[in-house]
Amino acid sequence: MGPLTLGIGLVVIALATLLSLAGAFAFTLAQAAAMLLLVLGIGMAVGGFVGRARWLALPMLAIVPFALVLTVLHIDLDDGIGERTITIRTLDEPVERRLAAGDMTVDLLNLRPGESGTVNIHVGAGMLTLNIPDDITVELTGSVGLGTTQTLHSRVTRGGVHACCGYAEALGGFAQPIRWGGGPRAGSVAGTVRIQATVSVGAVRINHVNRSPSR
Amino acid sequence: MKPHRFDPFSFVVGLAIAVLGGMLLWGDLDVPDLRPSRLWPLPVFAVGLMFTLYGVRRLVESMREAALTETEAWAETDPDGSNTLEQD
Repeated sequence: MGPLTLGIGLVVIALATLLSLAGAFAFTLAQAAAMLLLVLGIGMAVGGFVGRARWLALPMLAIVPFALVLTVLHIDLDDGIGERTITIRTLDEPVERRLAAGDMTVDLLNLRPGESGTVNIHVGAGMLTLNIPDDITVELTGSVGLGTTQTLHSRVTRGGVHACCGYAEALGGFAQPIRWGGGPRAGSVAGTVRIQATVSVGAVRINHVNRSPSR
Repeated sequence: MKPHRFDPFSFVVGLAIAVLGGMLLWGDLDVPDLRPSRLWPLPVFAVGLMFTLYGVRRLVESMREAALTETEAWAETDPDGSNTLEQD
């Protein structure tokens, strides 16, 4: 029963991968691992009645951690690995950026007050830093699967950004959408920037930056 | 394939892994779904099911043995089958 099950599992995965390469459907490594677990599990369960194959537990236990990590972390290596800095100057079109692993900094400091739009960011494993000016209205939602959310109130000086006014850290993600903003400046058009930030494992750091000249 | 007596270990472990594979494939799981506070009933259920199936197997086998012993005892007391009731 064991060799038969293993053989069927490998054939199923090979066929699915070939169909995927032919463009029939998307088939990721995470799905391959999950499908192999499914087939081996069914084979072992059937083996409980006929042709017992207890040794199948060993390959299954070896595959489980990989399948779990690949599936729940939503890491797609096509998203890239490394360090990224994204400066957003306008939100005429929705902005979407993804990174498989590494550090990503999203800088909204060049946005005009009153600007509205959508920003979607996903980091598989690593640190996501959001530099958000305090004179735009922001609605921040998202999640941190395993890690922390850090909120930093800071001030822009000639030398860059430095913390000055407060610091908060929470385990996990955003239980409630975070909404803040001093509102648009006088004379500007009201608007809200909606940011969806997700990090599977790592941290989100929010630098809430005062753009007004330092006193 | 050789015939074997029912093996609860293979059945339960295989079933659990198959369910896990199905959940990973179609369940849209995320990291928070894997918190121990959410997961602990599953291994408890698997272990409980395994013990239950071992118990059921033992019960079924003991009932079969009892039935077999009874048949053999009856055959010993009546080796030529002369006490068998004949119906008209």
